[in-house]
Amino acid sequence: MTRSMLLGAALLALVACRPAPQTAGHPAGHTGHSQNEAGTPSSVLSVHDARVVAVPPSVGDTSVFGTLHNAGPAPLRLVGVQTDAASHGMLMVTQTDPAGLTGMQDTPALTVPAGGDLTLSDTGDHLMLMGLRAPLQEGQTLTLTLTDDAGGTHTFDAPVVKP
Amino acid sequence: MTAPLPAQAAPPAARPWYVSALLAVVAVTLLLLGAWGVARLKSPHPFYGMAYPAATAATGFQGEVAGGQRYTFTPGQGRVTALFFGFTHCPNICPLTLSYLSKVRAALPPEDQKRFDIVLVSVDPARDTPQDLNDYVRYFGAGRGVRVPEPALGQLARAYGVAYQRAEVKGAAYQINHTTATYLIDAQGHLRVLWDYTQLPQLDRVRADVQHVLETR
Ligand SMILES: [Cu+2]
Repeated sequence: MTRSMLLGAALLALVACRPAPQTAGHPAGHTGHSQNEAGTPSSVLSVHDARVVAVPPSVGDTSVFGTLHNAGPAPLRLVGVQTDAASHGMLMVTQTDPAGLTGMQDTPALTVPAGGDLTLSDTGDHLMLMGLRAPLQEGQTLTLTLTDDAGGTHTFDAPVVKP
Repeated sequence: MTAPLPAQAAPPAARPWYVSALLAVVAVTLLLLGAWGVARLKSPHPFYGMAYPAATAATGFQGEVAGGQRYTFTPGQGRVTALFFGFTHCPNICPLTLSYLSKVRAALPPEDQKRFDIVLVSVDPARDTPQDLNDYVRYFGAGRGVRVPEPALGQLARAYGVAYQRAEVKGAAYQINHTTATYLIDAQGHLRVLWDYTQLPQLDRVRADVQHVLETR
């Protein structure tokens, strides 16, 4: 059930963010959001449907959802996320134990399969931004940077939206 | 003397055979429609969520809400309530539960919206103030956030089959792992159905359950 819904959500996300025809010859699946440190369109990683959950000012942490696509031939192991908007970022997994208790736990890495997607969602893997430096405003855009285990960085923008 | 009359003895002119046949068809149709209507009213609506056995009484509780006010939840009293348990430091499941339930509420006819409440009980009374809960609930939707202190919270949770447990997260404030169901309580104070969190995105089906419970008194 959960798996098929996640799959559905992933498919929807993919359909929803099929890039609008921009530059001719722009490879499908690359939205141009992913950049390397130098700021040039780079890596094998593209991010679709990225969104930061808007939270009231009384809440200091938030989640980031979306779909990560790895166009490369090797799995991409992400080991960190950071943004100027929060004191630190974390990689999280959501788990439900046999007693039915659901919660999230930090994880050292999230892996995007070769040529495949990793869906970041409320019921699965996601990113967390801890210690927001200022209350988030709906409609604001945050710039986030993912780091992979080879030291490569992947920067993308995510709007702040109410779920 | 009471022997049945032969069929051909029926008054020939009064009612042609086809009128009788038509009346019979109408009578049977009405009967079937009536039976269907009664069955529809009596038999369980095919709930999308998990239905409770008939007449399962919901448990009431007391707690604090914003403004230092005491809040008493008495199940029923003509109102239908969607009740769930969460906490404000929860950045994914709890806001989405509120968001889904608020969308369901907004999709109801206005007169039904007035009889449908959304209530969040905090499973983190040590951190969640009534004001935090109020801000949180209002931010993501429409409803009421209630702080029930321990040990009353533990008893209330047991009554609903809710479990919660503090979990340490490295590099962050603690989290509360918790069960994620939403409980629907009808206007007579009976538990009617629960939805697992993963069911809530099907807004139309959740709304159909709510509407059914609003309509069956
Ligand atoms: Cu939660």
